[in-house]
Amino acid sequence: MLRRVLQEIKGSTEPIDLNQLARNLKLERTVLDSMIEFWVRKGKLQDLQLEVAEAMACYSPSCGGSCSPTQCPHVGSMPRSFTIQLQE
Amino acid sequence: MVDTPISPTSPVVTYDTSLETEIAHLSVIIQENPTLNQQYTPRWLAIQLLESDSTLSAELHQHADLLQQAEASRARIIAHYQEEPDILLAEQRYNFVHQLTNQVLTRPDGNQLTFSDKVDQIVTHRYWGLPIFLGLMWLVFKMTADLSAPMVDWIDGTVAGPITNRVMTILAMLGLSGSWLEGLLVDGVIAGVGGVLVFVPVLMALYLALALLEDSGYMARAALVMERPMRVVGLPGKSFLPMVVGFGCTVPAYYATRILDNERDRILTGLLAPFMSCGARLPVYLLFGTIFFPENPGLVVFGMYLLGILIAIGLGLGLSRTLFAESEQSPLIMELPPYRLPTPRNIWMQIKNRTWAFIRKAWTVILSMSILIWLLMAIPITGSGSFADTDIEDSAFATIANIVAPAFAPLGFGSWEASSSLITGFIAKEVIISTQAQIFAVAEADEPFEETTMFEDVSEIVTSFGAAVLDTLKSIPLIIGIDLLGESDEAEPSALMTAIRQHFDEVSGGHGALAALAFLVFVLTYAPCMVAAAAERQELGDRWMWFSVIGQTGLAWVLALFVFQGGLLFFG
Amino acid sequence: MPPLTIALAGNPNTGKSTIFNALTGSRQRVGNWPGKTIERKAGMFKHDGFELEIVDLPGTYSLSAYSLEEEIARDFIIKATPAGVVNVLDATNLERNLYLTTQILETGVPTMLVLNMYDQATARQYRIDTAALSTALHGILIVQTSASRGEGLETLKQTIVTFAQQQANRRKPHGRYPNQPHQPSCHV
Repeated sequence: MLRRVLQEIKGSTEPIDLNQLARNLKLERTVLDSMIEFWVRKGKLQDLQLEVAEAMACYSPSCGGSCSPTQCPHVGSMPRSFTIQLQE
Repeated sequence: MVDTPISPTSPVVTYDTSLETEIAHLSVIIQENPTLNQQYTPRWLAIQLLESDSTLSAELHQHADLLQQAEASRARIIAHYQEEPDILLAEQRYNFVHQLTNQVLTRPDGNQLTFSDKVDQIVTHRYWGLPIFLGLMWLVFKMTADLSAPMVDWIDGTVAGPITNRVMTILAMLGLSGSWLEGLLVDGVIAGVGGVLVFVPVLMALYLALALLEDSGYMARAALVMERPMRVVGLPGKSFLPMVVGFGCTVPAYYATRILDNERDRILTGLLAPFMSCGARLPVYLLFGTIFFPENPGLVVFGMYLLGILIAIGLGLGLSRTLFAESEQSPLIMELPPYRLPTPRNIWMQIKNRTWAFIRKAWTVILSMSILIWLLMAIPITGSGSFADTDIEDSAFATIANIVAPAFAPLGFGSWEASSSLITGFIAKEVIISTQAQIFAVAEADEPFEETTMFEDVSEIVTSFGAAVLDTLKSIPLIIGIDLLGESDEAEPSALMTAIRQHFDEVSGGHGALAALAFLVFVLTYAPCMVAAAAERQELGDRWMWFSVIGQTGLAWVLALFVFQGGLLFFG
Repeated sequence: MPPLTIALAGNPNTGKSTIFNALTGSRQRVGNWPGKTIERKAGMFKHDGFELEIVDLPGTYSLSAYSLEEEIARDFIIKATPAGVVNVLDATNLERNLYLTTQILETGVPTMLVLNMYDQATARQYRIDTAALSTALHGILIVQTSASRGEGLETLKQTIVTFAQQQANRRKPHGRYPNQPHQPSCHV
């Protein structure tokens, strides 16, 4: 099932909603989450929230006065999302 | 007493035979080593070695033989399954747990669609999703315009009335009436910074609307909807993230392009991000929308945001087919949080943080720009005036702006007043407003100054605030189309608004509204602000920064020309 | 003889802290894990004249040592060799929680399960066949609790005593647990 999750994501041409994916695979949402987490750790999926936070780390206080790297008010509450990590 | 029967000889989870063979092989080696056997459970250690746990490998560095054997085992497994052992082991653990759960847990059918799922099927629908998103955005801008109008009027009245009066009274007491200091404070600082701070309620209303959508969970759905156009343009789905950031501020959007995997996607996303209207452009849209389209300023604002997105899509289509080759697409997986009632605390935090950033900017960038512009307006170049006592037409400011003004004539706003604000707007787009506020404040500075007492000023602030709060409450039903205010209650346009209206009417030959639209399209499209350009230079390099600055300004000129001249053809 | 040590392990948000507080009361020591910035909580558990040290491990979803929390939890179970592990599970989320259980069982350290939030699972009409679960996990001890409501805590305390006594009886002065053949046993 773990590998099925990754295949399903790779095979998709449309954006995927985690609830929908869990239903399609007849998996519990929380279990799917932990499998996604597994693939993020394996470097096969990218956690975009982390990526944005990292990209902002070098962001100096310059937009609209000042925002610290992690809490620029304009970055704020991004929905949690993932994507396939393409081969470098 | 019953014994607990957990023992290494009877594993709870058994793996495929090929895996078990290797586990057994390594376990024997571990068992035969007294130190290891004493320190670890052999089966556990064997499994960790197959999973190539790096911390453990470090601990076991003196057992080179074991590590070598483990490497050989791993190699055999990879050869057999074409897959890494840790993935296989985790998968089989998941399968074990899945079967076990099915066996011991009975529960009502969990696969039924919840209310949230049903709503999602509509709002993220392949065809309905986009119209629903656009409809909600239109509502957001309508709400922003309607809800904030009374408070904007209140701040405007307070700054122009009581606050200016107070400053002038104090200056008069110090015997500085009519001095250059009065000019600096009243025509420079108060007109400039005040002119921008007037829009704080607008941003608060916008951030309120956005926070409602975010906190209720809709924004995540909107992102899913927005992902599709991204991929039409030939960008990976994840480039929607920098774009969304761009609606707040273009500067962090450039930094956020770092999440993209290759240079092509980074550059293309970076080139398109500035077309997402940032928070600084909103006040300009709203000011001109209110002046020239008082019936429906929200629609003007919405139109500008939408136009920006359309320009980005068109440009993206063009660039991705010409300058850049297509790159590999990767689908986006998104978490759609359950819908919930927004909490006042979360909403307030968001409004506060974002509004505060805007106010801080007014206090720093806009304040210094206002002083600089006032200085330029105070220095006479032609005519017979002296410092701080010159006709504004003769000032350094007007003289410089007059050089470029003719370039804007075909666009309907070829005056030094309009073109100068576009130049200063390069520093920060709010400065477009503060500059115009300063220009038109100076131009009509001849108003007689009524001396008022402190008490009169304070009581005026309080009573007008009360009226503004009442009007704000009354305007809530307006969002859904019920007009409680009535025509008679409609606020009088402020002095600045009247002045801008007259000016655009004059300079465009009677087509003020059309010239204003062209002006807004220009503001939307032209060069990103100075800080954004610096960020772009840092992220994408010199070449692409100049490409943006020059390219966008050129595009802005063409589009504004198209709007004004095209409009003349149609409606003229 | 110093009291035996029992580790409290489980996923985050399983009510593990509530259980820890219920077991140890005010007899807690709060510090940091050596060299780490993560809080370490330990406390004394006393019941029927029996005394145990309980260490609250950081909440983790696995023992793969990818994160600091996982490393701490794993190192404690492997290196500090507690007499046993009390694994707290969220009964409404059994499948996800059992993944960690399989990894804890793989370490070979004696383990018992606490199915917490049982009231919520019941409210959702979940029925868990604890007997079958225990059998599948080779006769592991299982207790059902609803710690936030204080339900099942007495049974839990009693079972922990039973569990610890088993370990005390079979523990050798040095080294690891003896290899014993599998015997059927009861569940609670």
